[in-house]
Amino acid sequence: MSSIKNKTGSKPGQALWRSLDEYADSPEFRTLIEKEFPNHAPELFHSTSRRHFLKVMGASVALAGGLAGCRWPQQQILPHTSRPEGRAPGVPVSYASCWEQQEVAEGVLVTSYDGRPIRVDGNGDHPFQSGSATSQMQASVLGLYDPGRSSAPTHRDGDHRVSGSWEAAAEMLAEAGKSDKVAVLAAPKSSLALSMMRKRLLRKIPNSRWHEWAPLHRDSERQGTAQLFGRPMRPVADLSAARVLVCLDADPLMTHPASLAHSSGWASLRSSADDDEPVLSRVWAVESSLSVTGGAADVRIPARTADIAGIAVQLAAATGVSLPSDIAPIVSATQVTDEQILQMAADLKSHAGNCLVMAGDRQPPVVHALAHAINIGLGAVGKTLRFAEIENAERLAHIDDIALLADRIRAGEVETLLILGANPVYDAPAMNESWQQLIDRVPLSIHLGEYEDETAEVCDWHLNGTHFLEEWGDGRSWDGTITLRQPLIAPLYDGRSSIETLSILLDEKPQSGHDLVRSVLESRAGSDKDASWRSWLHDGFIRDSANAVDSAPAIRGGWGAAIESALQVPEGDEIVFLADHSLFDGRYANNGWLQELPDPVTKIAWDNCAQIAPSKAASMGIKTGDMIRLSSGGRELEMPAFVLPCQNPRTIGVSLGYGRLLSDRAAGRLSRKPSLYQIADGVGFDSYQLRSSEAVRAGYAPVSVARGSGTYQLATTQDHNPVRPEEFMGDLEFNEEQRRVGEFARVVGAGFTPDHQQVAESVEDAGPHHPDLKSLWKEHEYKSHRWAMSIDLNVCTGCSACVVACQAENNISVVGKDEVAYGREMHWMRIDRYFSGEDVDNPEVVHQPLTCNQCENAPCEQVCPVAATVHNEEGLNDMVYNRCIGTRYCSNNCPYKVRRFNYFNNTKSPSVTEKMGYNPEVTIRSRGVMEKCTYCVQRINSSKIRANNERRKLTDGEVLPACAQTCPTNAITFGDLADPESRVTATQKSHRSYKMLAELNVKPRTGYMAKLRNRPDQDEG
Amino acid sequence: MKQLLDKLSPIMRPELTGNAESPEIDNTAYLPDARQPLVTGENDNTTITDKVCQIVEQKPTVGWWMFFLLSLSVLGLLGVFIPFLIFWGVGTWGVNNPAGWGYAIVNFVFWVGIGHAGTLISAILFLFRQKWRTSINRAAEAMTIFAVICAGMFPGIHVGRAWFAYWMFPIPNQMELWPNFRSPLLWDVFAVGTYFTVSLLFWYMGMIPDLATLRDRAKHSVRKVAYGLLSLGWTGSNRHWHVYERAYLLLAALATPLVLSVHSVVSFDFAVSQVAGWHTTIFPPYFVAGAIFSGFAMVMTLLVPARQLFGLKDVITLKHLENMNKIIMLTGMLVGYAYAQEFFIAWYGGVKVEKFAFINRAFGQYAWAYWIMVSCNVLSPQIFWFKKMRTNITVMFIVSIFVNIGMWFERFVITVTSLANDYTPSAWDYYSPKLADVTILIGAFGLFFTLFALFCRFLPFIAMTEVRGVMAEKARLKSPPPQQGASDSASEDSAAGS
Repeated sequence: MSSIKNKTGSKPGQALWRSLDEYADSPEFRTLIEKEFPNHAPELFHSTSRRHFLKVMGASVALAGGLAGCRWPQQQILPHTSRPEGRAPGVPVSYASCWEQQEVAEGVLVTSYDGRPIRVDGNGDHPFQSGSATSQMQASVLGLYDPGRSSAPTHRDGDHRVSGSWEAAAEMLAEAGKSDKVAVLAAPKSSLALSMMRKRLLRKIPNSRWHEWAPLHRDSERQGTAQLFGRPMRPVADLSAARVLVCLDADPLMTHPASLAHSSGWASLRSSADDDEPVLSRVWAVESSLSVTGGAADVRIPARTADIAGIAVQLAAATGVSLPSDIAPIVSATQVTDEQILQMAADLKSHAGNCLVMAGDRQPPVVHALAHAINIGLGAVGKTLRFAEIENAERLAHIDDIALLADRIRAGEVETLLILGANPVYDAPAMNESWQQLIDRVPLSIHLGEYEDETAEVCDWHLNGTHFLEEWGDGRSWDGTITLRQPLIAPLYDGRSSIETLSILLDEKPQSGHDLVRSVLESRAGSDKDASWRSWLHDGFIRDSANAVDSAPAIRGGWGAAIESALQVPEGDEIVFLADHSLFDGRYANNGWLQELPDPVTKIAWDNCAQIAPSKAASMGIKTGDMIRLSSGGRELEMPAFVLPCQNPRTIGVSLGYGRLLSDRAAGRLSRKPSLYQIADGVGFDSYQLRSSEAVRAGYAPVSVARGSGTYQLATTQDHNPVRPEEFMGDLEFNEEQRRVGEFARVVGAGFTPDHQQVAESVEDAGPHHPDLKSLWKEHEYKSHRWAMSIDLNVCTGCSACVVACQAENNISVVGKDEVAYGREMHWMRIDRYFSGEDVDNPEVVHQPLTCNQCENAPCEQVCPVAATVHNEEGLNDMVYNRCIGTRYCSNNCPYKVRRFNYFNNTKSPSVTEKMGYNPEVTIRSRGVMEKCTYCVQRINSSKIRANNERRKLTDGEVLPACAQTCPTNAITFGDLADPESRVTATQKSHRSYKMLAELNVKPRTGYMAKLRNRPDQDEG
Repeated sequence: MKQLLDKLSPIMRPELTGNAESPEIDNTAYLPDARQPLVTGENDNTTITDKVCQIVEQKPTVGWWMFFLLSLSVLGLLGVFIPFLIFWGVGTWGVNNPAGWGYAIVNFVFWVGIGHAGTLISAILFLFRQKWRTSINRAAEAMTIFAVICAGMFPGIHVGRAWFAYWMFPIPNQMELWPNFRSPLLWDVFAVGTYFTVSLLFWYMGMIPDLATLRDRAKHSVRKVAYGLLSLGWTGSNRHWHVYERAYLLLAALATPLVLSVHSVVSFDFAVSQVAGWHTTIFPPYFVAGAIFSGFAMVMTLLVPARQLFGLKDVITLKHLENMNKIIMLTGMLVGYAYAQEFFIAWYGGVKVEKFAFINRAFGQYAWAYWIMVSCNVLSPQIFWFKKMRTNITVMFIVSIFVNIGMWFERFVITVTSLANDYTPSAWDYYSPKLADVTILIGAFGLFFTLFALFCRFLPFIAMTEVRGVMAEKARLKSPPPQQGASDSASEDSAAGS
């Protein structure tokens, strides 16, 4: 009762109340309400004012109207009572923008359908890249529509989080801006606007400091070039000139930020092999875990990551680099022999000028310095390599920067911590204390991000950020070209970008992202500022804005001082932490397309694993799926093993980015279960737990491996029966697979020139004998187009961008781990990864993309009882979804097994936002219906209609299926066989061309071109 | 087995009247100068009629109720899991990407195979004047009908959109959309449909005189009306008999090619496709032999208990069972020959993928299933080389169960092993059933036995008229117990009226 009196005395209570408890707002009542309405029900505690009611109603109406309707970019709101010129409803429009990862922006073209972005492709006009896109760029559009994104600011209220509003958040930010001792922890970005905001913040708030943290970064490259030249520089490689490429633990074709430019450059020296004078590059890869580049390499040498420094020293000595001190290079017991290193060196020297040595970001700075010393010594600078200046040269290494932040927090020097996009609770190594404890020490912690992630859960405030398709911004591409970002859609959840948030913090009158970006670039505009701005936005980049290049950087004396210490490596097993090919550092964990994308190397979806070499696994009696216990520097983690051929026997490879906790289980406060849309929650294993600061610095860590308890089911899309090491060579199925690999994914030596027999006919090492092929039925006649595809295995790296591009284009469902494990994945396109060779620990790798071959004599068509799959007059094998009753006979009779069946209703209840992301040109398939690749028939038809309207014939290359469009190496050629001049006709006539399973007389329209492997032992012949 | 059945007899069998109880008489001995009687014991026209009609006329026994209710509850599994399947989708089964067909198709082929024995016994053996068929043909035909009903259920529920399964029928429509006449699945629809129709007609027509007997003996008015309607006004007149026998002969001639064609067409589902391990020219005869094999085994499984429990040892004698065992052994060896031939051709043909398909069957991931199949189908019937074994009730019952298991596994091996490891190794996978697969497999047996229990209860289990016709004439006319080896040329004549 006293509380009621107190309440009455202190301030006016609620006007209406239901009980005395409510009136007093007693703890019992709060508990009751908490039980009734768990989480995010703050309104119940406060009286609803008329003003508040109107606000909520207004927001609801705005949301209902806004979400359901079309959203145009905010700066161009147009009333469509009369249709504006040039915009036809239902006709997709492309806008240039940019996507960023690892501080490097990639120009993209975003296709928008009635105001909804549905596809992200590369910006072909961009000076540093082609029109291709990576799998992560392709999947980013699903990230925009992810219903698991955070939808409102939340803040901590006692033991639980309550949702707030941006008004309250803005008040809080403005208050924070007036305080002293502000620290910002930002995910590093190449944005000029963000850099300007950083400077303004540091100027305005005296005791403030800006820290940056990314778990995967390129610090050793900066430090290595700094050792060599006295200042950090960015090595910009041109692989189209590199006749010999040596990768020291580097993965230029996949995880490197410039992988797209590298891929197209590398491919240009591979596919020209059909010319009269074939030029074929040779790639040497020295690495510990199989990378995409390693799989594509001509020679792959497994070595411990720790030992590669020694190999680099030997290589440098053999190529004539004068090493500063008298070092006797010692290569500790690896499989790498002196002979191999000398061979590599000889190869480099014989192609001096047209060669390149690249070092990976797991290697210590000195290996980068050595690599560039070799490059400079062999005259590569100016040909295959240029050194560009970089901004912000003075910044600390990420791990030092975040350690400094930890020290400052402990010293009480941080009162307000603003975290912009970083997620240290999940991905930063503990600094004596965990990051949760460190953040708890800060009086006011604010997190801005797209997801309410592990860090958001422990911060006082979480502000919902924007997706890159919702914000204004800018960035620099790998060569420094300024690339612009324009929003394709108004923020779906009313988020704010980093620069807008900082503007709220710093400015009396917060500026919009548009104004901030424009103001920072204003100085670069010509006389007509509006015209420049418009042309930049149209192009997506600013021409000739690349960073300055130092054509002859001077090598500083004494650069090799660190060599001695780099050679002091511990013996024994090591663990290396790999950037995940799908999730990268974990930021894409809630993206279903990327989760379901089989890893190019392991073919595992929805998990990470500890990659272990067959010989090591055999010696420990470990099979794929067995749990193993990894201990490194006092940290322990149990993970499932995956026996991976090509893995170095003394290296355990573990990819990062899994084991996310997106629900507030992360904070350990409440036991709220992850929502339906928090798909990343609890998927895989959090390998960051094993990664100490020392491991971040060194790139590897000593590890001891022991058998763990039990087994774990890994969902793989290939080898559903994991290869058992003890039976590896004797296994019946394995032997048969080995026999067939040579027929499917044909590999020939570099000396295979047009003078040779056709691959398709050379029976010795390729196709099986078969009688004359006769057809049982009268065959189809084709009077117009004859669509066909060629896939060049020689340039396919297995990067899987095509798989995601296909998924985005064709509205392919995500089915989840259990269904993938059952063998019911829905991808229309898959990339078969085969190992071949005698050495189990280091076999050769071949990738073969496989999708519907559109057989002219299609076995699927013949057996369908209801004629739901039929041949069309252009040779496409059409699926009539409406007619399909789902006997699955077609799939059984398909020798390529490329048909996919909807075992369940995979598209039963998409969320409002997911629906916005569907491609309206492609039907959503129902349950019980078969589906498969159509060669993107919707694109063929829209191109035909366009050409028809313009009264012209289709030109070669005008029709591009999604896979062909996005392929970073242009491995996929599509066109019309009826056109004798088309590229696809030429490629299918190539001496390297063959058809898979041609002996079945199914007459596939997809042709393959044999892979050329340029082994050094073939040089003589 | 025998003891068990004897123990069960009191609750299972109806109260028998007259001289019903008679011991097992061995009529299997070879007599150089005479034929063994097809009906043993002290039987005449009246006792045969009484024995058969009693099964229907007396109140159902406790045993019958137990059997019926058990079958019905197993059938209930179908009632639960088929709606479950149709509500959620065929993903509730274990089928996956390389193995698009699983238990449903295995069960379909298994049940169609079972459905072969009845028509073979009634039509082919009729044309070949095998008089011993008369005692078993009615039950065997009933089994055929029920097996085909079980089989027919599976194509309907195994498709992804069961509610459109009728699109497989050539129904005229305004869009002029027809099924694809090149598809073996469509041929299946016709083959199984025709087979079912003809078998049903043949079975029903053969039953008309017996239904008339039941009608004439019926005391209850409902029975009178029901059997009256079913017997189509049969009076047993000379003209009726004349027309009846013509029609029976014609239907027998019509059903005979169907026995061979239906499983040939079912085998085309596999043989016409190009899956290695399916694409084999031996499949049609091999499937027919297998079907007869499994059909006879199922007849054996049903009749061995039934003759005991319904007191029909005199009618379904040891000689009948022995004859069937001989056929089981013969067809078992045919099937074994086909297994061997497949391997030979796979090697001789030189197609490497096919060679692998067969080696993989025997030694790959499904080797366990293959060896279950071989031991049940090829090895277990070999015991029938010994007369002692093929006249031993217990042994023949156990072997018949083995053959049923083996033949189910044969279809499993063919369907699943070939699909799981076919042309493209990257797509290889392992098929394993889920709960819904297993329950629907068991539930189909529930359906089968429920129908069979109803048949025993309401329809004449034995073709009385035909059996009366093959009895020795003296026996027919209430005479002293027949001498062993006594035969009467009169019994060779056509069946006599009641």
